[in-house]
Parts: sequence; C-alpha cells; structure tokens
Amino acid sequence: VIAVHVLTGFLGSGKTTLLQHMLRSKELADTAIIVNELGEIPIDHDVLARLDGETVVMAGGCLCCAVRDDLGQTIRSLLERRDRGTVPAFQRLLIETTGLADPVPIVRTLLADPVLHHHVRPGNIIVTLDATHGLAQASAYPEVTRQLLLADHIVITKTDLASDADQAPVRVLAQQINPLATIQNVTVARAHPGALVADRMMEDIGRAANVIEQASDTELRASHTPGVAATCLTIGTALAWNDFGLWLGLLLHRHGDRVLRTKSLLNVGGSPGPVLVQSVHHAVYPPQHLDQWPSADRRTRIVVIAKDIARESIEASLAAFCGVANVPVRRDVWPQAWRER
Amino acid sequence: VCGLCALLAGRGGGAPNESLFATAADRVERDRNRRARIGRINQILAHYRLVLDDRGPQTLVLRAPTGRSVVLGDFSGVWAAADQLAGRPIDPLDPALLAFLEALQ
Repeated sequence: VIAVHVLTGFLGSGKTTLLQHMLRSKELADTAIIVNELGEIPIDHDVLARLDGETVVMAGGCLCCAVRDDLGQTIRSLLERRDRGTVPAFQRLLIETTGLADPVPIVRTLLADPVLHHHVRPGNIIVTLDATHGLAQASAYPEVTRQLLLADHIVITKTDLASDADQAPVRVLAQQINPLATIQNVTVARAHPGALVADRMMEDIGRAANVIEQASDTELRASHTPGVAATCLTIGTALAWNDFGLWLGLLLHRHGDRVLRTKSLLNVGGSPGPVLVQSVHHAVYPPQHLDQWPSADRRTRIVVIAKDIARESIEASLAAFCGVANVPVRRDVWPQAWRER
Repeated sequence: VCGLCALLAGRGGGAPNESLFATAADRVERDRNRRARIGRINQILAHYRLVLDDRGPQTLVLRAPTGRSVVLGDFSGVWAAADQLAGRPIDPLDPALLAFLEALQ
C-alpha cells in the first residue's frame, strides 16, 4: 500500500516550485506525479515533463469536482502501467492540485474507492503559504484558511522576499489556524522533501497537545477562522476500542461538516502499542496499530479541530460514550507562537 | 483490517477474504467483538427506542417501535438508517443522550 500525498496552496504560492524542488531530491526519486490543471493549456505540465517522474495531466476542471471520478481511474491506470513495467516503478504518489482546490474530496476518493484502498492510502496534505501575501490571502479567500486547516505540513514560501518581521505573523497565522501541522519556514530551495512525505502523526499529536496545554484561557481566538478551535483531550486510562470507534464514527456521521480534523493517539485496552486514528471531515483514515509505545507516557490524546462546537460538548460526549468520567481536558488551543508575538 | 477499522473507514466490515484465512480463534474473537459492538450500539439506540438485531454474518435488522424496520448488510449504514427510523438525527453531542448513557454506567 503506497501513500498518496497532496500538494496544494493558493494561486502563485509556489506549489510548482516546491514540487520541482521535491522531485530533484533523491529521497523522492521514486515518486509519480499527478498534476491537475485548471484550463485547457496545462502550462505546468511542460515544466514537469522535463523532470523525472510520472506526470498525468487531468485537464478540464478542478480536481475536487469535475474530474474527481477521474482520479481513481488515473491512479488505477498508473498502478497497472507500473505493474506492466511501462512506467518506472514508484513508491509513492504526489498530486499537485489547483490553487483553489479542496483536498478533502481527494482523500475521500482514495478511501472510498473499493479497489484503490487495497493499493493506496492517503498520505500527507502539504500546503504552501506565501510569506509575502499569505496574511492578505488568508483574509480574503476562505480557500486559503481551509487548506491550512486541513494541512499536515505547511511550507511558508518566498521567505527570501519577506523580512523576518513580516514573516513572523504568517507563521503565527499558520500555527494558530492549525496546531497539528508541521511548519517549514524556509526558502523553497531549502525545504526538506523527505520530511514532507514522512508519517509523523505521533509527533504532530504530541506537539499539538503541548501547545494546547501551555496556552492560557485568555488568548485570542483566530480572527481568520471564526468559531474554529482546537481541543486536546488527555485521558490516563485505557479506552475500549469499540467504544471509541463508535463514538468517533457517530460524531463524524452527525457533525463531520464541522469536525474538520482529528488526530488521536489511543491507549486501547488489550493492545500492546498505541492506535493512531485520524480523520478529515467525514473521512477516517485506516487506523494504525503500533507494536509498542515509544515512551513511558501512555496517555490517550485526542486532538480535535472543530467549528462551532464547544470544547465542553466534545468532552462530555467522549466521557459518556467511552465511560471515562472527568476527562481532564486541556484548554482551547492558542499556540505558543501566538503568545510570543 | 479489523472490523472496526473497516467500519471507521466506511467499508462496513472486514476485508473480503478475511473469512478464508481467519483461524477459528480469529473467528471467535471477531464474533465476540461483533456482539459487543451490537450491544453497545443498542445501548445508544435505546434512547431513541430503536433495536439492532443480529441476523447472521451479513445481516443486521434495525427496528422501530412502530414496526418499521431496515435490513442492513453491515454496520456502515446503521447511523443513517437510525436517523430515518427515529425521525431525528442520532446526535452524540445531545445532552439528553449523554445523560441517558451515563445513567447506564
């Protein structure tokens, strides 16, 4: 099962430049690329065609809607051609979307396709954010904040064109909107391609939990994302896998439109290691059952980014469904970076 | 892929070939999990006066007190069907449901 990563970011935020940089890296040499172009002239394809890697242009519409059905077909075709030896063997896929694209339908397509889910799994959502125009774009375009909210990695681009003073608020914005995301604040030429495709969910949860635990109640909420807040629930006792699964499944069934992102590190009764579960809206990624704990800290941590749902509601719901009374929930999140500003 | 993993991923049950390769112990464990899951779902559905019956490996029947029922092939459609039969959404944030569940503990 190979990972399918998604590279997205607003128009002109440096997606293709980052993609070119990633493809030059030896770490990503065995990566097949799917490029989605809006419009009839796939300009980016001409650029990418000179690079090593498989490029499949999906012209004629936005990946999220018009050609979403083609995505599964395109990936299946790539896999078949790889198996026949007509394209070089690849170990991962990277989809570059249009600037306005919503990555969620891509994830849902990967998970819902009855054939594909045996061969591919959703990888990381990588989002580029312009150091010079990112703040203004986030204010003006909800697509930008939505991409940031869903990101696993945020790469702040064009940092060589912005002063440190100008860059700082962009980084704060990114972390404030999504404390679960890893942020690279470098010029694209110095970005770390291997890190962008690495699975670091456990580290992401730990970092977000620390950020949340250290935040104070009085810190301001993100003005760019009204109503959106991150919450971390930390539980010292083991959970029953059935109870948690039913709770998360029902929560997303009913409120998946408002539960934007979850990442959970679970101490499950009877399991030797933690279980990692993440979701994007209604879509739940295949849970990962690990063989052992990386440290002595075996607390369950559930990080939820939700819109217009009170932290207390999530806490009470989990407690009732999983029988964990008095869940010591930490505060709503306001990141360390915000306090340091 | 355990049954709950598949359920969370929206595929309703185990992998298609699971039964071909499962050992007797696996099947016993799977059956035990299935019964536990149905029992827990029924605790939740009781608040809405609905009942989920296990009618075999690939058959679940959701019943309402009105006599209406829905036949399901797996767990993936349980909540949507329950929404319909109850005439209102099954809401895991509803304080009344949470109080009902806590009273069971």
